[in-house]
Amino acid sequence: MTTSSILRVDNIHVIYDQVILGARGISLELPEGRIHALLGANGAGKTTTLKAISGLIRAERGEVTCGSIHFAGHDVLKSDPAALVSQGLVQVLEGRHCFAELDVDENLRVGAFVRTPSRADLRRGLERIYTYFPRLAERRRSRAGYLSGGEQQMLAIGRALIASPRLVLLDEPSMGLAPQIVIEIFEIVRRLNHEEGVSFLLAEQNAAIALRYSDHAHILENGRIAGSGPSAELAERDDVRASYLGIGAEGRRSFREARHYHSRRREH
Amino acid sequence: MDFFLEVLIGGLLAGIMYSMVAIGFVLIYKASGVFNFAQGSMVLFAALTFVSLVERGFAFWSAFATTLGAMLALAWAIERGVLRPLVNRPPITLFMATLGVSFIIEGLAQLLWGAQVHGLELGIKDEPIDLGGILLSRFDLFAAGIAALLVLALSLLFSRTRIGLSLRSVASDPLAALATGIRVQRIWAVVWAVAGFVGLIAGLLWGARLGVQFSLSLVVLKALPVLIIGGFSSIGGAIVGGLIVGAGEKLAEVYAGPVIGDGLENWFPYVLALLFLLVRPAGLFGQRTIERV
Ligand SMILES: Nc1ncnc2c1ncn2[C@@H]1O[C@H](COP(=O)(O)OP(=O)(O)O)[C@@H](O)[C@H]1O
Ligand SMILES: [Mg+2]
Repeated sequence: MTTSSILRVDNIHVIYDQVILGARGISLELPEGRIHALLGANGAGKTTTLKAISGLIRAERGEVTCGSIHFAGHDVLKSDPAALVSQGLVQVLEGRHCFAELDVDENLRVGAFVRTPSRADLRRGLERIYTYFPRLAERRRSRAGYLSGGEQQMLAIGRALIASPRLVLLDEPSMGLAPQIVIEIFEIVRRLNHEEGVSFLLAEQNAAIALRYSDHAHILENGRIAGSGPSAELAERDDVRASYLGIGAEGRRSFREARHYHSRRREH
Repeated sequence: MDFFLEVLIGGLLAGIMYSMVAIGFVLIYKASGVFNFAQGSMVLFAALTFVSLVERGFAFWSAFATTLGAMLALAWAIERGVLRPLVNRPPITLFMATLGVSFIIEGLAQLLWGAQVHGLELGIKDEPIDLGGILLSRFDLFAAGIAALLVLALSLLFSRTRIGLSLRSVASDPLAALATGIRVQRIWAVVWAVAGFVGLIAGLLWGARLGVQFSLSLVVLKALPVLIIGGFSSIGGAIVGGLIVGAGEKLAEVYAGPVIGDGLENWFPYVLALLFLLVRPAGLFGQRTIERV
């Protein structure tokens, strides 16, 4: 492992319920302090990959059958999820998963417990999250179940950040949110990355926004990586634009097909 | 009117005794989604252990402490040895497992302490006392006071401590709790220990009222209508459900019993529970998941 990479995933295969393949041969590497994206349609294996990295896959009757995952020198496959969180690897789940019956303040507190903070540390931690998310500060006594989708996404991110992670796995942060709110959330991700050096691995179906805010991206199809590259370059490629950015007359099609189609067109 | 009030209040006080058993169920159900049928045997086991220790010359508090230790060990063994290996299995599997555990505990209790009936004396005379013209059972008042203290302690635990907040997060969303770094299995162990403690308190009070015998584990059957009415996942629901069942069965016994026949008290709670099932299947406090205690 190069010293600068915080995460290294080596050729992992994941199966659910001993039969269903979720990922087949995924490898990727994330240098510390970067934002990388996993793109792909519904069912491509993005969530599976993130859950394999956070260890949550085992709670879903899934299993990493071969390959290896290393986070900051720790062997992920030998650690339980709580240990990984305390070492600085936190996942923000798809669909946000706030504790609906707990209020905003309580949600954030729970996120901090893994570090067993003193009361003063806890108060400082809460204030830090509220400066990043002033909207949450206004609603600190509201039950999370009553927040809007955007506020819940902020709360889910805040609850992960209060544990002072080095790497956040962010699953579909844009799902179901208005474009303006999506931008607000990605701006905060960028700030956290710049100001606090937090690394992000984010999974998105919304390729346009993910390519705009990430340094590097991997395109997943059927549990495999079908293409990778710097985000700025991917955003310019015809095949990516056709399959994932909805640009071009052919409509959405498989990335492999699109790549084939575009390379043939270029030859002619 | 005084007579009506007497029956009503007597019923409410008795109902709190049902709530105590129901709370043991609610704790475990809320935190892990398991309907622990063995809660009744835990009540029996606690009462039997306590009374046998007292009969062998233990003082009240040392018998209490020893029994508490035994309950915590029992709860730990069930959680570790049976439920943890079965995690992620369908609820019916877990329910059957606790049904099995329930018979094992009863068998174990019989092996250890024998099968005879014991009297349990807590030093509270069950004599009527006069409160403003209304006659109430001193023991029922005492039991209600203990139950109130227990509920107060539990609500402080849930609202004021880190372990309580972690527990509520696990009850709310186990996957998110895991993702947040909560050690979910440790929380389950704590919940089982607390349920063991609640079982001990219920065992002492019920044992003092009915005598300690094997039919004590049947208090489960009294707790069931309470849970159906109050909802399986709310401590507040368990209390309100207990009050409704207690008051309902006493009023039915006194006012409808002479017409319909004796023993109404025993099956009337199930009539109430069935009505609730038809009208409000999730119970009074079960449905609005956002309102859980
Ligand atoms: N808990 C699960 N049990 C069984 N199969 C699953 C489970 N989660 C995901 N899968 C399967 O794994 C594949 C990848 O899914 P997923 O990782 O959720 O994709 P994405 O996040 O890209 O939408 C899909 O075929 C899906 O049906
Ligand atoms: Mg997904």
